[in-house]
Amino acid sequence: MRIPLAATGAVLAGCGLLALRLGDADPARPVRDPALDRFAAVHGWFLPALAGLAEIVAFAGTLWLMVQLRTLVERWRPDVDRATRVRARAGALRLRQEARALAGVRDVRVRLTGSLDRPRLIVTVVCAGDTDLGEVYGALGAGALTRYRGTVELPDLPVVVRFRLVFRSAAPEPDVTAAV
Amino acid sequence: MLTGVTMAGSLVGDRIGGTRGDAERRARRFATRELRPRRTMVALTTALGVTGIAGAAAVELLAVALGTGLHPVPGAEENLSRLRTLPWGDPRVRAAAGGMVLAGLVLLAAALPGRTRGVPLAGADPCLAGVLRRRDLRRTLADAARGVPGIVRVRVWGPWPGVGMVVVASTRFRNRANIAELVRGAVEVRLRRAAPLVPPPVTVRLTCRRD
Repeated sequence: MRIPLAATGAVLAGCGLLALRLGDADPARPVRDPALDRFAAVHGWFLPALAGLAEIVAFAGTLWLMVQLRTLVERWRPDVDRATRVRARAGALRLRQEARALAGVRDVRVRLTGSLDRPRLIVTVVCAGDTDLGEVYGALGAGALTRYRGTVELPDLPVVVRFRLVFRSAAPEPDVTAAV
Repeated sequence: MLTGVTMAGSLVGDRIGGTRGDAERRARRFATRELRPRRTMVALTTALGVTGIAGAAAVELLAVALGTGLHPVPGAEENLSRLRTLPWGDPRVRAAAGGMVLAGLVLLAAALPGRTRGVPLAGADPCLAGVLRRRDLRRTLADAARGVPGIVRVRVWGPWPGVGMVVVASTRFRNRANIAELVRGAVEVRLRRAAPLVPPPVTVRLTCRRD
């Protein structure tokens, strides 16, 4: 998705620079040059070709927009069949139970995203501030997530584990300044 | 015989080590790719703009090319007539051109890979990426530093590329003694527990009472 962004940026910056240069070179020349109107009147192919080019760009933009919208929607509602959805629900329940049993884990949220061609599992693990994250991460990868992949029958399912830390509100430090 | 067994063991060890190294490399690549900012909103807005502007231009141009004498896009006729008299040197035209350059540069910057969303965690599964928010990493390190006796206030900055984490701690003691080392030790232990993919270097700055 970065190539269309870069291409649009390059075209926009290029056109802007060209316009600035034209402003420097011939500031009195009108933006819609009469010579352009004359050229279009003489060459009948010019306007249809320009319209065709605009159509192509609009079509490419529509495709890009559809891909973006699909990605956005699939982040919240995965494009998978009913059987996979049921298996994913069962797997998520088990994954949540297993993860919550790990030391320091307070809460777990599991979300299957994407489509059957490009699925993703997003696991959000809320832990206490001093939790050994390396241990929790290793235990999840070696056990609970492997079983989840088995349950949904997607052995190579890419998984992203997002850790969130929660801290107890710290007790106010006793003021011992006077005693020192 | 013993040499043969040792050699075989060494070869198996190398093979296992190589496989593990390869898996870690693939895990690192996967994490970097997955945690790269998606720029969804920028892409969505740009796609919408490109579709709208190019679509309007196509409709207008087709109407002119077909000689219908109609202007399907509202306001197009007035704007096109105004462009006949507006010179390239007009401040409004120059401002619009400057805006286009700026917008183009913003889009080009958005297309760069950028830094990962959060701190990637170390792992060896090539299909698994773990991430901790930068804010959470700072908070957990501050929490560790606050556990050192005598420390009353801690601020943690970073991680910054090339600098790492900077821990600024204040002690209520006049004599700093080895408190900075204790803070560094506590922070480094907590950092190891957080297991970042690339552990950032830690710099500790300690301020003590001056009265």
